[in-house]
Amino acid sequence: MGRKIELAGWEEQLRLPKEFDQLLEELHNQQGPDVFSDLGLALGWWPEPIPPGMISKVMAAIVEKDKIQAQFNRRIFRLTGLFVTVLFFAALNFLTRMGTVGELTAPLRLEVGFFLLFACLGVGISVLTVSLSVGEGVSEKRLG
Amino acid sequence: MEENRLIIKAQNGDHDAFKDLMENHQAKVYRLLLGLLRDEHAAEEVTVETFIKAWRNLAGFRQESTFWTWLYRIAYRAAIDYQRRSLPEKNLTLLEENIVSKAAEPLEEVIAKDRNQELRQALQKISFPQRAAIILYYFQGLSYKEIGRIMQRPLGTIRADLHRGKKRLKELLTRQWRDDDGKENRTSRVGRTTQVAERI
Repeated sequence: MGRKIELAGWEEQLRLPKEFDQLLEELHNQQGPDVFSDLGLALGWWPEPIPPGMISKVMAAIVEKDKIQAQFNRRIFRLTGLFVTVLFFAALNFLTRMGTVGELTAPLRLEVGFFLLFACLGVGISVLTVSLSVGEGVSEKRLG
Repeated sequence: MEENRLIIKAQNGDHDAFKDLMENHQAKVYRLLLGLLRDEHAAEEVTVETFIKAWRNLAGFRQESTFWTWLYRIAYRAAIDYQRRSLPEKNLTLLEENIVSKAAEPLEEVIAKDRNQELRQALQKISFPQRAAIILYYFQGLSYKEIGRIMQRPLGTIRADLHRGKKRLKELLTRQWRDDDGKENRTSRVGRTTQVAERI
C-alpha cells in the first residue's frame, strides 16, 4: 500500500475521484476471503465474530431431513409396490378375458375403463417421479 | 489434499467429514452473507441454509472449482432467495435490531463501528448484484472469473456491475459527506480521519 494513502486517511482518499479508484484497487489486492488487511479493517470489513452453534444447527437439520427423506422414500416404495401389484393383477384379469373381447359386456367395459384409468394414473405418477428426479439432477449440475 | 479427502468422505455420507468442512468454511460464508445482507440474524439463518443445501447437493460437486467458491455460489443464491422472501418486513426489523445491538455494545465498539457506518450505509443503498460484486471483488479480493462463477453471470456483466456500483457508491458517499459537512464541524472529521490513518 502506498505511503500517501496511509498518511492521508481513507475518507480523504475517497473524496478524490482518482484516489478513490486507486484505494479500492489497493483494497482488492490486499484482501482475500480469509484475509483482513489494515485497509479493509479501516473501511469497515472486520472479522465479525461467528455466532456459536451454527454447526450443530446444520447437523440437527441434516439428520432430521435425512430421517424425513428416508420415511418418505419408504412410503413411496410401499405405495408403488402396492400399486404395481394391483395393476399386475388387473392386467392379468383383463388379459384372460381378451379372448372374448368382441363380446364385451357393459360391466366388463367398465372394468376396462377402470383399468385404463389406473394405468394412466400409474404412467402419470411415473412421469412425475422421473421429472422430479431429473429436475433435482439439473439443479445439482447447476450447483456443481 | 486434506480437503479433497474430506469432500470425498462427506460425499459418501460421512457426517463428521462434513462437520470438519463446515468448521473450515463457516466463517468465510457467514462473513460474506453478513456483508451481503447486513443483518446478523439473517446471515446466520442463511449460512445454516447454505450448508444444508451444500450437504444435499454435495454428490453433484465435481471439484471443477474450489469448495469455497462452490459454497459461495450456494450462499449467493440463498441470499437472493432470502431477500426475495423477506424484503417487505426487512427495513423495520433491521432498525429495531440495530437499536438493540448498539445499546448492548461497549462504547468503544460503538464509536469504532460508527466510524465505518458511512461506507456500510452507502453499500446498503446500492442494488444487490452491484453490492455483491463490490464485496466479492474489493472486500474479498476475488477475480472477475471467480465472481462470474459465483454469481453465474458473464464477465462483462460483472464488470458493468462493479463499474456502476463503484460510481453509485462514490455518489452516495459524496452526498452523505456534503450533508454531514453542513451539519457537523469539519475539524471533527479531520480528527476522525487521523485516527483511521493511525490505525492503518
